Parts: sequence; structure tokens; C-alpha cells
Amino acid sequence: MILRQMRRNAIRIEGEHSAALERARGRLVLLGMVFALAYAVIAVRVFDLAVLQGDVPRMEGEVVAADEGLQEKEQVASIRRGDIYDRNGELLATTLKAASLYADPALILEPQKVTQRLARIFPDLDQAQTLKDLEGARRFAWIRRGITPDQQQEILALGEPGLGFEYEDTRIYPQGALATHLVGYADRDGNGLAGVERSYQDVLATGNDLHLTLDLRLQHALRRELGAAVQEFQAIGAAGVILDAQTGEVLAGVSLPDFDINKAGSATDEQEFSRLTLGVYELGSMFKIFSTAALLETVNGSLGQTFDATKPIRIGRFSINDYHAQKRVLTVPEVFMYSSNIGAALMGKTVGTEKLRAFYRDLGLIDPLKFDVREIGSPEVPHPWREASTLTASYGHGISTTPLQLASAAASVVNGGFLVQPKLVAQQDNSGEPEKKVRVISQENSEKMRALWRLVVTQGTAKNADVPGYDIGGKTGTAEKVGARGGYDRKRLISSFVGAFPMNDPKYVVMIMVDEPKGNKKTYGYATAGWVAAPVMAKVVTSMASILGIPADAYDPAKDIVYNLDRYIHDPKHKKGKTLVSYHE
Amino acid sequence: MKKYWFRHILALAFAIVSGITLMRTSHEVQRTEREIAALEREERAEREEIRVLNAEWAYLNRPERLEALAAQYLELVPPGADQMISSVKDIPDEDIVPPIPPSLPASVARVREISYTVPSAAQGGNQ
Repeated sequence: MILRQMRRNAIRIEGEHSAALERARGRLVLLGMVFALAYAVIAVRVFDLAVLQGDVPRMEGEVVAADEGLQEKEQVASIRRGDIYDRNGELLATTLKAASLYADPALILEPQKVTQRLARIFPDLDQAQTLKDLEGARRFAWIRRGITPDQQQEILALGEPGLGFEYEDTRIYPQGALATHLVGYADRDGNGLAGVERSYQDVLATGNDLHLTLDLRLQHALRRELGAAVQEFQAIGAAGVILDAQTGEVLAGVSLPDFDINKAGSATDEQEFSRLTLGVYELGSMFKIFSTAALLETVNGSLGQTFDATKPIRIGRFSINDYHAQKRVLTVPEVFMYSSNIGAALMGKTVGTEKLRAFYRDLGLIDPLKFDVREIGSPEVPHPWREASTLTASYGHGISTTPLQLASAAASVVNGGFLVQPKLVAQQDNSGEPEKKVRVISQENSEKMRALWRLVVTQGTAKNADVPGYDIGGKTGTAEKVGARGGYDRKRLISSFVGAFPMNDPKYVVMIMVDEPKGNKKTYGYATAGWVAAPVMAKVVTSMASILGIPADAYDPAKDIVYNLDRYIHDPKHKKGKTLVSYHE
Repeated sequence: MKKYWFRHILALAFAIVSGITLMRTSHEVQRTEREIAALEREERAEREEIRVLNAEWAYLNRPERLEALAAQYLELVPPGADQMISSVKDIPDEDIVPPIPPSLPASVARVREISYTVPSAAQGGNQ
């Protein structure tokens, strides 16, 4: 019994032994299989890498791919600023990736040698500062931001391990100083600081391109001629604009002095100042355009109406005199042609204060101009506006506007009578809705004004503005600047001219203003508008004709609108029986 | 029993084949992705290059520069206002004279003399 039990026990023990052995073996096999599998996987992977993918430069691929991810992230973070084009698609502003040079001073062993070599590449480098940076303890120092590819190549050729490049968006203005004050400029971080770069910041910053109404060729011609006038008459500055007489599109707009907008940081205040849109000036006799138009439009005046300009008008302490005194009774065309201050003052008086003011307001001469750049000067009008102000404002004294504003108002008077609102950015919305036209004077009166403008060029103060075959008309304005001690300074003039062509249906309105010109031998010492600004008009029109391909019309005296004014001109010097046209010839 | 083994071998073969196919496909995908990335990179670089060239083109075509170059290298000037005509018909035909200068410059005249005298001398010799 005991034996049996023992045996049974023995069997059990034996059985337990054998079961443990079984398990251990099973585990070993399993382990072995796992190892075998791992080896197999490794073998397969090795085969994959060595044979299947053997032809791919792996390391390079990995590195580039990682780099790419980074670049994409950067691109999402910063949208590239939109480009700016002129009306013909010529590039005015673009954004390029430009290299910026930095140094890691810890990797630079010979700071002095490196500084000297850098100075050879960047002649205007501040060597003392650079040396200090390179010897400093910091691990990063900018040497120069926004360098050219050529410079980058030269630096690479140095083979200096401590110098590296970062690529940043840089604003480039290929046209340099051509349209300084209208295009404006943006800072390194993409914030517009002037011109359309500032006023259209939202559009540009979201990556949209901007198309301006400017024509670079006209812009250049205007800038060149204004620059020549500034030089010839040693003026302190000039401004000019070419407008589409119907749409108010600014085809060219210049303010001198200007500067290369690629180097906006080094511009002086004088250069930054836009005489065209920000400067307000008493532009003098050109206001006779508006007082004459007011006479015709608001009180139904006629061209035959006469004004006694025999003697100066006295108001309190001062008197209104004529520069080209005729000392007789003048008709409206004569007042306009001789630019009689007395006549214009009397016209203003006839119109009356309220109506004149309201008319000026309708033309946009009283409120700040709405325009596509924000550098806009507020007009200075008499405050309070007394009766005497009406007289002086009729010939442009005591009222200051920006040149662009005056050019737009003048365009409104001769384009058929519709208010001109100057535009710099081409309309992008194609809603198809025609713009609402606001009439400021009647078609008939606008045609009368055209004839008067033409008269000034054929007979009056602006003969120098004439270009045969182009039917130019306009009005001069010579104003004295307000002197340092109040009152007017006879030596410091603003000589300006606003003109249009062809006068029988004006397409283009051109405004020229020269700031403080000095007379020279050629002008017999005169610095008045007829001698300074009017010739610029002639040169600009000549250039426009060849650029835009405008053919000259054969001159037909019978078709010259100035002929209509013949019966209003009673110059005693003119012989009886001679017409305006025959004098012109 | 035999059939049992056969099935196993078949399954194993299938697994190996599909494994290889999978690997090849995955490899193909990777390579294609790399190619795409390379092409996109290339395209971006090309676009950037085009932008740079556009800017350079605009810079080189500045009216100011072209004017200076034209003045230097071309024997042409912009037309004056009186030279602008609207069509070819406006050119007065009858006024056009054959482009023979009224008097030749001395050097040209001498050359002509020589070229005419030589054949005439030869003719004289024959006669």
C-alpha cells in the first residue's frame, strides 16, 4: 500500500519534472523564433536599404526633406507681400528673398583680418563696430542685411566658417526714385510707411498685387522736365501731375526733390515731403479759372460782361493791383487773358460770398482731397470768410490747396463739367456699374472755359506753353510766398501752370508747379509762370505726343475754339480788322 | 498529411510574395515622394529666379537708363511734335527726293573717281 503510494508519488514527481522541462524547451524555442524573426527583419531591411534603395542618396534626401518642412512652415507664417505695377504692367515694387549676412564670433579666429576683407566687399562698412561685434562674446551678430547675389558670392569665396546667411524677404523698387511719393515704401518687416505701400497695406500684406494708373514713361518724362526746370531756375523744388481729364486717373505724379525708395532710410525730410499731395500752396491766378467758372455757372454770367480794371481796388489797408495792368474796362476773356486781379476780384464780388464758397466746395477746393495715398494736405481757406476774402480768393490769394487738388478741380471745369476725383489705383472690381458722374458746371460753360484756356496760350501769359498742332490751353499762376514776417515775399515765388490738350475736347490735364524759381538771362530775369512753368508744359506735351503716339493735327484756324472769343477782345494795341487767329499766326 | 504541408508552403509563399510586393510598393511611394519634393523645390527655385529676373529686367529697362543708352549708342532722337503724323498717307510723296547728297564728301568723291577712271582707261586701251 505504502509502496504503491510511493510509486504514485514518484510518478507524479517524474511527471512534474518532465512538464517543467517541456515548458522550458517551449520557451527556448519561442525565444529562438523571436530572434530568428528579428534577424530576418534586419536582413530584409538591410536588403531593402542596400539593394532596393541603394541608388537613392539617402542622407541628402533626409536632410533636404527636413529643411523643406521648415521652409514650408516659414512660408505659411509669412505671405509674400504683393507686387506693385504701373498701368502697362511695368514693375514698380516686388519682394525678393535676399541674403543677410551674419557672423558667429566664436567661429571667427582672426576678427581683424575678416573685418578688413568684409570692408573690401562693403566699402561703406563701419569697421570699428564690426570689429567690436566680431570680438564680442555673443554668438550672433548681423553684419549686413539684404546683400546682393554678387556680394554673397564674394563672401562665399572668403571661405570663412564664422560667416553665414539668412534669407529674408526684401522689398525691391526697380524704378528707384521714379515715383517716390506715390509708391512710397515699406520697412523690413513689411509695414508700409508711405504712399500706396502705406494706404494699401492690407491689400499688399495679404499677398495681392496692386496695379496703379501711372504710366512709367509719362512719369519719367514729367520728372525729367521738372528736374530740368528746377536746375535751370535754381528752384528749391517742383511738383507736377498728368491726369486723365475724364476719369481722373493719375498718369504721372512727381514731387521734387525725391529720393531712391530703395534707400528710404537715408532720405531727408525735404525729400520725403510730397509737394504734390501734402504741400499746400497759394497757387494764385490759377484760381481765376474757378472764379470765372463760378461767374458763368452760378449767376449766369456771360463772356461779354465787363469789369472796370482802371484802378486798383482798395480794401482797408491793402489794395488789389494788376500785374499786367491794362487800366481799362475788361470783358471776361480779357480778365482771364491778362490775368487781371482786379477783374477777378470784381467777378468774385458779382458771384457773392456764399455762392463762390459753395462753388469752391463743389469743386473740392475747400476740403481735404480723397486720394489713394494718405499724405494729403488740408487746404487753408480764409477763416472767418469775410467779404474781402471773397475778393482775394477770386484770384487765389488767402486760399491754399495742394497742387493735385487744384489740377483735379481745373480738370473738372474743362472736361465737360464733371467732377474729377483723382485715382492712383486702377479699379479692380468689375461690377460693371458705371461710376456716378457729378456735374459741377454745364457742358456749355465748360466749352466756354476751354476757349478761355486756349486764349491764354494763344494770346495771354502762357504763349511759351504752345506746341503747334496739339491745341494746348491753360492758365498760369504766379504767387508770392508768405514771408517770414508775414506779408508776401516778392522774391520767393510759386510759378505754376495748369493746362490741357486737345482743347476742343481735353483728354489730358497737366499741372506744373515750380517752387521758388530764380530768373535767368534767358528769361530776362523773370521767374513768373509764363517763363518758368509754361515752357515745361510744352516740353511735357512734346514728350507725351511721342510716347503715346498722338499725331499733331494740321492747324486749322477756323476750327480753333479761341476764334469764338474774337468779339470780346478789345485790345487797343491790336489793329482793327485783325482777328485773334491772325495775330496767333 | 501531404495536402496539409502543401497548404502551408502555399501560404508561406504567398506571404513572402506579398511582403516583397508591399516593400517594393512602399519603396516606390517613397521614391516618388522624394521626386515630387525635388520637383517642387526646383519649381520654387525657378519661380524665385523668375522673380529676380523680372526685377532685374525692370531695373535694366528704367526709362532713365534707356534714354541715356539711346543717346549714347543710337543715332536717333525722339520725334519732335511736328514730326508726329497719324498715318503713312500724311507723308508728302511729291516732296521726297532721291537720297543722293548734293555734293559728296571729298573722300567718297575720290573713291568714285578711281573706280570710274579704271574701266574707262581700259576701254581707251582697247580702242
